[in-house]
Amino acid sequence: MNVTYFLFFLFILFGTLIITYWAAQKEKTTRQFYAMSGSLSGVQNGLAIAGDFMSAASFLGITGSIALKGFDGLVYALGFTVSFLVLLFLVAEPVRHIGQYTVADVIYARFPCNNIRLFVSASTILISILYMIPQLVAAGLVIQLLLHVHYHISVISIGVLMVLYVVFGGMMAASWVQIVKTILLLSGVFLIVLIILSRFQWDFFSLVDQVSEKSPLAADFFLPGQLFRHPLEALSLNFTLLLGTAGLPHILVRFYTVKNQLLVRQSVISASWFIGLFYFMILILGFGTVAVVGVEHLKAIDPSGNLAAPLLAHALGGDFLTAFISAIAFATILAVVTGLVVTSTTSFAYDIYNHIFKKGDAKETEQLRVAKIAAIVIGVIAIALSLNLKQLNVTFLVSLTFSVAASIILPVLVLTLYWKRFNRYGVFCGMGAGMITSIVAVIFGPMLMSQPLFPLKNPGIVTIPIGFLGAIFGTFCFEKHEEDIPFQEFEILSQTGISVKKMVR
Amino acid sequence: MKPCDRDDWQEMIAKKKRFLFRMVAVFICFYFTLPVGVILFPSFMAHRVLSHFTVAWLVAFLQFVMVWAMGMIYYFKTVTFDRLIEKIVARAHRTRRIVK
Repeated sequence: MNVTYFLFFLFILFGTLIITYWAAQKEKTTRQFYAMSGSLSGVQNGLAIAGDFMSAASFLGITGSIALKGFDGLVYALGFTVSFLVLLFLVAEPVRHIGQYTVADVIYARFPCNNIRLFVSASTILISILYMIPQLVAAGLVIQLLLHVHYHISVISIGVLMVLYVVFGGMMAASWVQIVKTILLLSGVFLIVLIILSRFQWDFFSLVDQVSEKSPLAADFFLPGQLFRHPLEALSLNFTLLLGTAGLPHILVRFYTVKNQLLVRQSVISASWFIGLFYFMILILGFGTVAVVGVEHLKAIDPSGNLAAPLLAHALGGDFLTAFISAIAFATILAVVTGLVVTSTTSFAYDIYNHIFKKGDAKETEQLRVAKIAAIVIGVIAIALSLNLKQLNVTFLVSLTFSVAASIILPVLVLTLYWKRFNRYGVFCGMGAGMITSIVAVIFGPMLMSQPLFPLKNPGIVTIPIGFLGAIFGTFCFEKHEEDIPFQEFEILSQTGISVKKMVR
Repeated sequence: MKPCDRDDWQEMIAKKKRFLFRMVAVFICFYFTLPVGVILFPSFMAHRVLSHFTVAWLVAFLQFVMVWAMGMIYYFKTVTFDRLIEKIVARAHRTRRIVK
């Protein structure tokens, strides 16, 4: 085992455990456990959102995609960045105004029905676990490769850590781990960018010329069409990435960790700056990989290209820089999975246990105990699935997560917030249609079948409209339920945060 | 009468929705310019602009700028809506239409 690598990993481990210990001293109530009592500033929450969002797929995957496929690798970066406008314009503020701790709160506020809360909560837990698996598998593989620790031990260690952070530190530990991770990630990537540019005498265009000379794609590196042979595939991916973010529960719940709508705006805008700048730097890392490491060398070590960033770090700064970058990749994965565990845990303890089992009367201590048990159970499920799915190409799960989030949560959320005629039956039909078509399209798609019945790897262009159409169909087929809250009253709540209960009739 | 029945509330909501609709339409159109442009006008999108960078790269870079610029526009514009909402809510409080 390389001692430098081990020391850097140890540094991340101790740093995050200290954060958790500090958070555990403050975490006494459910409001603190679920949402940190809304105590983050806008920029802090922006850093945490960026930390929640920039996964291992972003850092390791996109660097490799750009190095191997050139322009097309940029599609992911663009989709992820622009998706923050959907979040900002349509979803963020109303979610903050209406909800308290979970996404289900928002839908339930207009359609007070326990089955809706259960359905949305179950979707939240499903999406979070689906997204946790590829992160844990990636973490297992990275640690196995760098520290030569067995895959099973790597996955179990990360799984145990994420559960520990949530059990002892709740949302506060998750948020601060994410904030620290974003700062580390941005500064680490910035450092590599500086080293690359200094190698080329600070002449960016000389780097670009080298890329064109050294890439096997030559001048085609700068042209579209390397990653997606079928244009519809590229269009579908664009569509899914654009709408997926606004349906990811672990991103939506981050708006509860600030006090008001002004801070929500600051959060999303600052997150879009951090994420946009990060992808700009990742682009240079991709170029640097081609110019400094070489595509043949990268493919020989890892044909998928996921190790582009650590290999580049090794070529530029030897073991020390590789250890630093690998430790950052480790922190990146830890922060994302911790965010996912806290989101699914909150959804179970608050939506299912407190609201459905206990009719909203569960005591604080009781809820906290259930939340901690739920974190352990969810962690064990995610670890068990990750251990068994090592052999499978788990990237289909990332695609499935985005597709499911964009097809189930987003249509229902947008229509609840903006469509006057929408009703609870529309919610059921929309979520059902989105869920069934997403799962069917992925199971029968090219990711899992050699002779696919459904042609697209990213089914969003089909499944998202079906989610919307299902919701519209359900609304037109059934009459409004008498308990549904009138839209105008709901609109006041979504725009001002003032509860309809406080209105004098 | 609740605030939602008042004319100034209705007017404010209509204005805000108009603003949001325009912003959403602009960024969605611009976002899809890239994939649709690559499908429909491949040679134009492959036209070199600077060094090895083509029109497609230029559009891609401009999308980052668009995200930051539209974020700032939204931030400053919504402050005016916040003020209108505050006024309407304060008026409702004064006339005891909302119980504190």
